[in-house]
Amino acid sequence: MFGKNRSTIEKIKILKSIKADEAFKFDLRKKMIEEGGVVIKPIFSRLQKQQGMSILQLLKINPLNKNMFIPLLLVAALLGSGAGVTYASQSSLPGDALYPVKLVSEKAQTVLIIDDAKEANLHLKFSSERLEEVEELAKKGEKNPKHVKLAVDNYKTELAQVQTILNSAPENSAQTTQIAQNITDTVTQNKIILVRVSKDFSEDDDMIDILKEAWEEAIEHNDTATILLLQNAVAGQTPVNTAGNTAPNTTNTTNTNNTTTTPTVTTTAPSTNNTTVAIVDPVTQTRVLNKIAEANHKISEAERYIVKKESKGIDVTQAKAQVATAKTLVVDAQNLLSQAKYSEAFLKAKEAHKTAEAGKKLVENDYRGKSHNEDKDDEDDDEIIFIIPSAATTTAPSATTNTSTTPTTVTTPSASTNQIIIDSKHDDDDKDDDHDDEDKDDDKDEDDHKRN
Amino acid sequence: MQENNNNQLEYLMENYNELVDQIFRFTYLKTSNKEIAQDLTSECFLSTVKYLKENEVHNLRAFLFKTARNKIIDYYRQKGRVIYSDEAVLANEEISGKDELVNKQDAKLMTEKIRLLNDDDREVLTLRYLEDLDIKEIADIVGKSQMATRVQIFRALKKAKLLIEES
Repeated sequence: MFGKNRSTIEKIKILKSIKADEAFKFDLRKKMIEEGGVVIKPIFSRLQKQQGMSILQLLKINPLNKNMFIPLLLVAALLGSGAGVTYASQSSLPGDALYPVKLVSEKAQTVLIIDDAKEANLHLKFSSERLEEVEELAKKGEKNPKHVKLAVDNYKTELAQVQTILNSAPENSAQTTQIAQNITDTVTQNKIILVRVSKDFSEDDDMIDILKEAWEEAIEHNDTATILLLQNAVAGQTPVNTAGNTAPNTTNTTNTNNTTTTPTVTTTAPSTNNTTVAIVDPVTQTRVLNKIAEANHKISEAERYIVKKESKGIDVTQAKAQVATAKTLVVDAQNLLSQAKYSEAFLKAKEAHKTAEAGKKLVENDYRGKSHNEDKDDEDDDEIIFIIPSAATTTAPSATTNTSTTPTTVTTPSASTNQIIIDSKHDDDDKDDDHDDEDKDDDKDEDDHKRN
Repeated sequence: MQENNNNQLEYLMENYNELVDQIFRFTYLKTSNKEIAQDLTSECFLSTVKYLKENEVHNLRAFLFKTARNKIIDYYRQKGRVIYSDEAVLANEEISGKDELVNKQDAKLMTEKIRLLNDDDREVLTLRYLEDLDIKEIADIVGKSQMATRVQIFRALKKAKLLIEES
């Protein structure tokens, strides 16, 4: 009966090309699992069918690579049997024969996980693992930078994976906030490890360069997560009534000398903004303060470097301009902070950091381009590379190489809990130090380290 | 009983990709709007998942389509109009050069043409020839008898033929 209509039917079937976006499908699937509480049984064949990929693709391994053959067999046998972990490989380090097996078994763990937060945590755990491996290598006196690079590259990859998860998570959800928080916690720990390791490898330029990469990645990811936390914190607050210079028009408002009577802490604002401040916890403020401190530290570092290279005849005018800009940005950031505009303040501080860094790089490139004889006195990169500045020691950078602790324009919240704040000591030419009575968790003071 | 629900949920997740495409296509052809279609698809699946936790359905595929259909009706009701006429759907016209869904010329053309059919006709044709459902399922979904469904499909096909031949 439908014979004559065949071509019509064919034409209708053209519409089969209408499909849903992959991204949409992925999101919905996630939602179904989250909200619907669907539980997936982790059986490989099911996943394979669904993902439409072979497991090997998922694990990104080329099975033809003969170095992978035996480890793969091992893994395949073990995974097939339902076990997941090859214990011999777990303690291996980059450069060991079984190291690839360790990485593969880690990846296998991630394949089974559908829950975002758990997956993010897993990748964070792996990232820490990578740095611990570097530390082990350092303790063993590893000489081959390639091994360290391997670990650091993987470290970067793990962080990138976490980032992807964070990016695809719904904004403002509790889970996203949790993930971001975990990121900042883990990365801060990572930084501590890097500081330790940098001392062990201080002699080796190549190693330090590799570690720098890891450091920068850490900072980037920490910042991204922090920004998210700041935004979410703001979103959850009562709206800030920034009513300019006018008198406050809500009932429980602050008085004109800029301190609230509410249990929150505000910073003394140099401006005449005397409005109600949103309920803020010290944690949020400290995040911004830490970033500002970081920027200031970078500015000081850049300044010192500039001055030293200037005496060698390098043209530093542009660099100095950059540093000046950076300082202005820091002031902007502090202003924004006092207005409780946390995200903006944080971003400004980050910009300041970048600008100062760029200034230093200008001089660095010039210097490295010109002179090839590395004077091994304190010239080259005597800077302390890895410092985790504390908000308590926010120093206003001065033009001299003596960075003294001047009174800051930002009052720090007293007795902040929940913050990993590491006191740093500037040791170059200064003897100044400013220990605040901060709660020190289980973190120790990190000493400055001078590189030869 | 619990076992069966899990089976249905399992089936849902195992065939997820295929099912989402189907429901999405279905809602898209009805609403002509990608975002709305996505929303409705999401709602459909989420409420299905919820339902399946406590209940069992006779035919999962049909259930999904029925749910989607209801969501569409709710949607239009919310918008303040009861849409069964072509004009309103055409007013929602989203097919433009920018529409990523329908890339090929042919597909674009077909989408336009199929819109010219009335709602019910379009519906049975898509269910039958795009989603490959059988008569029994379609009847269940649209709430008609199997005979009426058969007839509708036949007539709809004829109309479609005319439309298509017109170009």
